[in-house]
Amino acid sequence: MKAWIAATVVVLLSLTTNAFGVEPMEALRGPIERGLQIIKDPELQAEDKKDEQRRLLKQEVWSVFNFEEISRRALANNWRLFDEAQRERFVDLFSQLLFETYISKIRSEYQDEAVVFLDQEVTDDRAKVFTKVTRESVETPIDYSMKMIDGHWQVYDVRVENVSLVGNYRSQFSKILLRNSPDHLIESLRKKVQGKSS
Amino acid sequence: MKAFRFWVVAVMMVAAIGCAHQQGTGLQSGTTTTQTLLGPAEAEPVEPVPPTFAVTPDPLYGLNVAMFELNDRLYFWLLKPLATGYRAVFPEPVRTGVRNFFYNLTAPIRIVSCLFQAKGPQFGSELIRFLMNSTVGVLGFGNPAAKYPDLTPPEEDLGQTLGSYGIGNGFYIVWPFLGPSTLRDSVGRFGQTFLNPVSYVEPWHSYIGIRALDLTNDLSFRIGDYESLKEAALDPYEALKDGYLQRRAAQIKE
Repeated sequence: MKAWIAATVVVLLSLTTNAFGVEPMEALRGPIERGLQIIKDPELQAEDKKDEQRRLLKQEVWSVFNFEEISRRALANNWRLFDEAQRERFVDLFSQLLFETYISKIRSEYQDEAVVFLDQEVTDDRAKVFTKVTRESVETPIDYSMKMIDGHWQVYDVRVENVSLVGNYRSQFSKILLRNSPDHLIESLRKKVQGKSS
Repeated sequence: MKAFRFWVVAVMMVAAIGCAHQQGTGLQSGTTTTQTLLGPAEAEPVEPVPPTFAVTPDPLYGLNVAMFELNDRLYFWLLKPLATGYRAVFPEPVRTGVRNFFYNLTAPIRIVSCLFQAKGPQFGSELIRFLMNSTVGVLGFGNPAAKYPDLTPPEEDLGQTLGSYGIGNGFYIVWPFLGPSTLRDSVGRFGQTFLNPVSYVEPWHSYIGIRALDLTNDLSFRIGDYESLKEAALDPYEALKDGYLQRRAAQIKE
């Protein structure tokens, strides 16, 4: 019996070490560096290559950002007010909003901004990766909260200068949902996203 | 004018102390609103809402929204064009020098704040930084202290000092020009005017000119930040408010 327990422990331990084989910082570094490469690539900057650039960027972003987790956390307990279809719509629109705003910002203002990966803190299946972005002589700390989901390190929150993105949206969503229905919130998101892509 | 200033401070102080006393009850009512707002917890994993943000009330909401709108227009019609022009004229090293100069001038605020919070090592760092940048850095235009990571401690102020004493935000306030604040941080900010050498500049139009240079120079590094916040937000007022409160809470915790 004891031998069995010991064996199980050994197997479990080896499984976890395998699962945690890729460091969170490395899991994040790849997509971010490739993303910046895609933005800088002169061949992709032509007007007719915009869709291609967007497709490649999406691939990188979606590989490490878990938008369902981000949406769930941003809605907090309001998540339960949403039925299955509404949740799906919400995750889809919210991820588009985040993608469009931040990509367009980086694209328009990317002037030799450098991303430096500073440090990481790992506890069990959670991790924080600390980075800073340097623009002119201004340094902006950006920290990523990551979680091991389905065997991959995935981002569920971003803190820019100590302001949590999820927390910021949570306060907006809960204020809106105080007086309005989930459908109303979904509709405002849709309008906001539509205003961006056009 | 002086008498008016005195009364403003006196009223704020009394109000701040009142809030500090009410903090216990304020927290309780805050928690209950959060609960009714979010309903009973569910099996699905959701992050608990950090109570500090839910607690900060916004009794001046109507006025604050009006001030927010005013600041929004001030930004797009006046401050942004000004800072954009300024940025086009002065190269980055000059603007960095000006920023360093003003940052160095406000060293007394940080030094006193460290002292009041009994932050010994930080107090030393701020003092050495001030002496080094004022001399080797030529009146603070240069920042030779930047070479030593220990000499760039997190920026302390009187609002944070009050916060470290357990004084809560009180309530949220939006000031014209100055933007988001709370009752506690406004009291701190007012106290800081006595520690900031620029406040002693006479006559008043020179004072306004220097303040305008400081603000414009500062803004020249941050053009676009407010736009992105607004772009990303469904409710820009709420986004700015939450961002301010989150940042302050983090600074106080540091």
